[in-house]
Amino acid sequence: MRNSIYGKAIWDRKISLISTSIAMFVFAVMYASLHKTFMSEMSSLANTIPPELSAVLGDISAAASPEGFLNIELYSLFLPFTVAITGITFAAKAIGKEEDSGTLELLLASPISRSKIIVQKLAAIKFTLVFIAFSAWLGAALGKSLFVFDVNLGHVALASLAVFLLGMVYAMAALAGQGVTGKIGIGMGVGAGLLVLTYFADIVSKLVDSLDFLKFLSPFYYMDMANVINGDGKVVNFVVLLGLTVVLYLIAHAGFVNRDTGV
Amino acid sequence: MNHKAPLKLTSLTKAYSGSRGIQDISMELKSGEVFGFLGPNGAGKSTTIRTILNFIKPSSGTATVDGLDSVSDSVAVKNSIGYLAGDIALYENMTGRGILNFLSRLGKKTDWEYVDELSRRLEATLDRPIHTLSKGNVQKIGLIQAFMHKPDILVLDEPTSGLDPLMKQVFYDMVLEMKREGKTVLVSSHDLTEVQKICDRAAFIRDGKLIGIEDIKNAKAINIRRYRVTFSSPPDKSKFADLGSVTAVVASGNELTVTIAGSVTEFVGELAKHEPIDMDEQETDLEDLFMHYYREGKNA
Repeated sequence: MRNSIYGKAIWDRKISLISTSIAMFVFAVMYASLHKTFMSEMSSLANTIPPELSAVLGDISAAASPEGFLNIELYSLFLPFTVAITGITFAAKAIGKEEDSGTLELLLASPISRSKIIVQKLAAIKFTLVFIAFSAWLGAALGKSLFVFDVNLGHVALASLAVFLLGMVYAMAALAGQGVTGKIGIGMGVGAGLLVLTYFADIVSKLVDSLDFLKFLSPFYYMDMANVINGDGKVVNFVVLLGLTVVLYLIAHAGFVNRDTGV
Repeated sequence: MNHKAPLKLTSLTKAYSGSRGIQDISMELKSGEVFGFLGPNGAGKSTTIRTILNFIKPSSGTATVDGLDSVSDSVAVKNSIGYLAGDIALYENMTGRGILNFLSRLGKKTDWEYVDELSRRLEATLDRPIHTLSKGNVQKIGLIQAFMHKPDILVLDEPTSGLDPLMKQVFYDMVLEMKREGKTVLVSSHDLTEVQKICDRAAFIRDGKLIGIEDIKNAKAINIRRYRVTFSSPPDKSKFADLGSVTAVVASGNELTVTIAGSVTEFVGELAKHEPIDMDEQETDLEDLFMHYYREGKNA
């Protein structure tokens, strides 16, 4: 496992990867078990919730369906933030930690190009985020088999894919910040700053009509979870998230390949 | 047959906004040569080496390894180089053997019998996590990873840092074996005694500038030694200070510390007249060398 840059990068984060994935899996199972209990209360609850909170939580009345319930409880906020934050910390440190500790010189002194180093780090980040995002899907699948929870697993898989792509956008922003500057702090700052700003841009766009255009600046808008988890997602939104990921990765790649390291 | 220089620097310059960096470094190493790279801390030794390895890009000038450019042919260059960093960092949670396996998988064509032999000779601990090892033991693993693929060129930055005298000797033997096999070794050091022991030639760098390249065996400028001699009674310092080869004398009680440039014949002759009871050679201060170098008018 530790005989490649890719394998070692995953191995070094195995505890946080496994614990986070188990948490997402357990939450999905738990929500599957609770759905029947809360289903009848969701419609009446929806009438009492102010629009500001609905903007954050989504349409509560939709939670009467298993997909809607999963969206409200897990896929609209908790899972995306978990995946995004995991992606940001992993990406900022993927090369940054090696650079700070000096072990990057071991890699750079080996007959392997900088491009291959960063591509293997990218692959490790992708694996990690896919693993966490789809642990929730696995939990939903188990919940469906154990409880009265008739969820469409194909739609939930698309929802996990959307979460993964959202996480990749913020992870690549962090990788680009570190890749260009060589500083972990800047990588973290770029990733986390973008996450907070774009999340609030999405919320504000739902609350203030004149600021509706802000939604186009937010990856959360393109994640479009309420529609994706119900099978109404648009391919173009996936393409936008993928495009953002690619552009940010190319910035990270060019930055790392062309700059001085360990200075 | 390849007639290209194993390592050639041509007007290599790395400019930083502050005073650090290197300016216009040119030198050419030969096959089968052990080449010292001497200078005080902060002189630019590590910057030069890191530029050769393409960790940092030169502002101008070139470094070539077997005719290959260190920037555009970086991967091919590293096939030929074994590198030991000055303050080597290894993966703390891996064992030495795990790290060697990892590096081998990255493309270093490893001779595992040779690794075992080096491990035995250096008494290296390969089966314990790095974080449990002393600095000297980490340095041994650093040396093994530099030598493990029997590279054509070894670039070693302060290679004996943390090694005890016995292991230093093992390292010197390893270097001389590589030299006999026609390999080229660049040893960066601030220890003149070490460079005198193993190097054929040495370059002197200070404030980022190359101030000279000397043949170690023939150069009076580099042939500086410092001895501490203990006598049965306080010696007459002036008898030694008047000798032509003596550049400095410091008296303290029954002890004299004498710095000699060139032949020790005069000094040994005078010493015999004073009944010394003990004598040891001390590490030569690099500043002495540079002062002497300037006095000799050899500024490049």
